[in-house]
Amino acid sequence: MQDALSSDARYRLLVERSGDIISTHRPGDWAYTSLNPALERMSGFTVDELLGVPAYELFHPDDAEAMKNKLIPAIYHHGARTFRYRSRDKDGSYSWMESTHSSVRDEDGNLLEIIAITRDISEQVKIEEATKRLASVVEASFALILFCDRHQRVSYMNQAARDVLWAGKADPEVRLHLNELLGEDNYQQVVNEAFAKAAVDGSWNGVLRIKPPQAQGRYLLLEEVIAHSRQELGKEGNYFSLIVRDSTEQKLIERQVRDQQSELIHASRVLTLGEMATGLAHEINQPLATTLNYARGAVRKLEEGERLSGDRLRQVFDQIVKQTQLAADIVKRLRSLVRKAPYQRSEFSLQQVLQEVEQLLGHDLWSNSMSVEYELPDEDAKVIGDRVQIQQVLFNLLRNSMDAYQELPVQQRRVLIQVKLSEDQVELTLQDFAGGVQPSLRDSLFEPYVTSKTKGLGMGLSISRSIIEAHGGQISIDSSEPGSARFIILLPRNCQENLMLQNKETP
Amino acid sequence: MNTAQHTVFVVDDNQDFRESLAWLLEGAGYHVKAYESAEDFLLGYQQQPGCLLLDVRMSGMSGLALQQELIRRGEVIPVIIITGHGDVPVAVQAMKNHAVDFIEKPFEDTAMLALIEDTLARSEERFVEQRLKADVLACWRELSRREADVARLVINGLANREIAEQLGISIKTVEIHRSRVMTKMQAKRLPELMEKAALIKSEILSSNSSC
Repeated sequence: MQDALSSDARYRLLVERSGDIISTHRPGDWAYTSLNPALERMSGFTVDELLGVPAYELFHPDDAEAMKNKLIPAIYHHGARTFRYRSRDKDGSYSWMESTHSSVRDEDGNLLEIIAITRDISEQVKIEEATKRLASVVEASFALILFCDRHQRVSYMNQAARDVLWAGKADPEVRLHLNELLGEDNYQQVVNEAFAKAAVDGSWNGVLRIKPPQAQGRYLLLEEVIAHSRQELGKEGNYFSLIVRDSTEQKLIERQVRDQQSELIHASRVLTLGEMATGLAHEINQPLATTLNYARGAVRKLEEGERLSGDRLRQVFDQIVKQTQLAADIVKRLRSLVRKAPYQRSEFSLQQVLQEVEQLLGHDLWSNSMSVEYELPDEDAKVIGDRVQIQQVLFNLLRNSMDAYQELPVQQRRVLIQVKLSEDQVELTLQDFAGGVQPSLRDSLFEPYVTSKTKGLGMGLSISRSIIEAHGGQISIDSSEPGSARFIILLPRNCQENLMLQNKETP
Repeated sequence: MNTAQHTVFVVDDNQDFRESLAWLLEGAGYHVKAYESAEDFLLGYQQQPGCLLLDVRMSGMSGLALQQELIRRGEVIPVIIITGHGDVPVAVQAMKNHAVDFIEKPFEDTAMLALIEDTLARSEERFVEQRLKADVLACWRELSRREADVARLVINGLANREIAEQLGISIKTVEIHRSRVMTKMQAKRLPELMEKAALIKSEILSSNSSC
C-alpha cells in the first residue's frame, strides 16, 4: 500500500498526537528517556528540558516518598500499576496526575525500561474532593439524613440517623426497607404525603412527626423529602433523600421551662387563695347553714311527732339538695384551683369562667363593696386553654382593682368587664376607675416584682402575662383615660379550624 | 310568761338562708317575720314585742348600722347577731351596740332556740316598760304648753305659790292647770305623777329646752 504508513511511523504518530503523556524511564533513577509533546501542554516544560531528568524530582515530596517506598518496588516485581500523585508544573504549582506504569524486560526478565502513560486528573480530583466534603457534611449533620431508592430501600444513613434509628451501628450491609425503620404507620404516612408530593414537585417540605419503633421517646420531625433523578439511569435512577430533625432535646427544654412556669403559676394561685380564705369560707358556710336549718327543722318535727305532708317534705328535701349541691360546686371549683395539675387543655366559654370567678370572689367583692358590671356578647366566647389559669388571671385583675379602690369611697368602686368577639379573636377588657396607673410604673407593670402596693410580691401581673402568652394571646394596659386603668386581653378565638390545628399538634 | 305572742324578726340578705331559718323557727312554734334588708325592717317594725335575729354582713345598710339606728330610736327589741365564721371584730362591735348575744353560722338549732326563748323571756319586762312609757308619753303630749310648764315645776317639787311666782301667774291659775295635768296624766296623787314622769324624763327635759 503506497500511502500506508509503516507500523513504526503509525505508532510514532499516535504517540506524538496522544492527549496523554507517554514517556519512557530509565530504571533506577527514573530519568525521562523519551516523552511526547502532550507534556508541554500540561506542565509547561518542553520535552528537551525534561529528557534525562529523574521523574522523582517533579513529584510532590510527600508523593515521591510514598512512591519510592511502595509503588516502585511493586512495578519492578509485578509489572503494570496505576497510581495518583501531584506533579510540579514549570510555574512551580502542582497538578494531580494519574499514571499507569508498566515495565519492559528482556528475555531473562531483566528490567530494561519503564513506560508511563500519564493524564492530568486535576478536575476530577477537584470534583471528588468537593463530593467528599459534601458527604462529610451530610455525614456529620445533626439532622438525620437518609437516602432511599424508588422502592424505598434505604441506601444511606448518616451518623445521626444511624445513632437514632440503628442504635449507632455501622451502615447495615443489607438494604433495609424504609418501613422497617419507620414502622408501618409512619411509613404509610411518609409515602402517602411526603413522597407523593416530592415525586411530583421535586421536593416536600413540612413537619411530620414520625415515631420509629426503635427510637421511642424521641421527638422526630420529618421536614424535607427531595426527589432526585439521574436521567441516564432511567427509572432506576430515581431516589429520595429524607431530612429528619431530632427535636427531643428542644422539647425537653421546652417542657422544663413549662413545668417551672406552671409551678410558679400554681404557687401564686395558692397564695391568692390563702388571701381569699375568709371570703371563701363564708361562701361555703352560707349553703351549709341553710342545709342545716332544713335538716334540723325536719328532725325536730319528726321528734315532736309532727307529720309533714308529702309536698312539704319534698320542698325541704329539694332545698337540702339544692344547697348541698351549691356547697359542693364551690368546693369543686376550689379544689381545681388548688390542685397542682399540669397545663390542661379544654374548650370553655369565657362568660362561664367570669361567672365562676365572680362566685368565688363574691364575698371579697361584697366586703369591698365593689360592683362588677358586664357587657357580654350573646354568643359564647369560646376559648381553648387551661380554664383554671384563665380564672387565675381574672382573679389577679379583680383583686388588683379591689386593692386600688381601698382609699376611695365605697360608692365609686366599680369595675366594668367587656367581652367582644371578632372573627378570630376574643377581646376581654377589665376597667376600673381607681385612679389609673402611676406613670413611672406604666412600662414595667408586667415585669416581675413590680408593684404599687405595700404588700404583695408584684408577681400577679407578670404571671398573668405568662399565662395569656402561653395561650397565644396578649395582655396590655390602656391608661389613656384619666383616673382609670383598663386591661386588655386578647385570646385566639376557638373556631373549627383552630381546633383541628390544636389537635394535630397534641402528641 | 307567754312568749307565743312574740315575734321573731329575721333580717338576712341571703334569701335561701332567710327562708330556711324562718322555716326552722316557725316549726319551733314562733311567729316569724323575715326581711331581706335593714331598711325593710325599719319600715315594717312597729315596736311589736319579740327579738331580732340580725345578720351583720349585708349589702346596703349593715347590721351594725341598723343596731345603731334602733338605739337612736329608743327601740328596746333585743338583738341577736348572726355572724359568719371568724367575724370576731364585727361580733365585738355588735356586743358594744348592746346585742344580747351572737351566734355563728351554721348553728346548733337547740342552742339557738334556747337563746331565743331566754331572750324573749328576759325582754318581756322591757316591752312592758316600753308600752307603759309609750302610754305616759301619749298622755304627756296631751298637755298644753302652759300645763306642761306647770307640770315640770310640780315634778321638780315646787309649791303652787313658788310656781305662780316663777311663771308670773296667780296661784288660782296654777291650781287649775295642776288639776288638768293630774287628769290628763291619769294620776290620782302626786307620787303617781312623779313615777310616770320618771319614765319619760328625757322627753320632758327635751321639750323643756325647746321652750
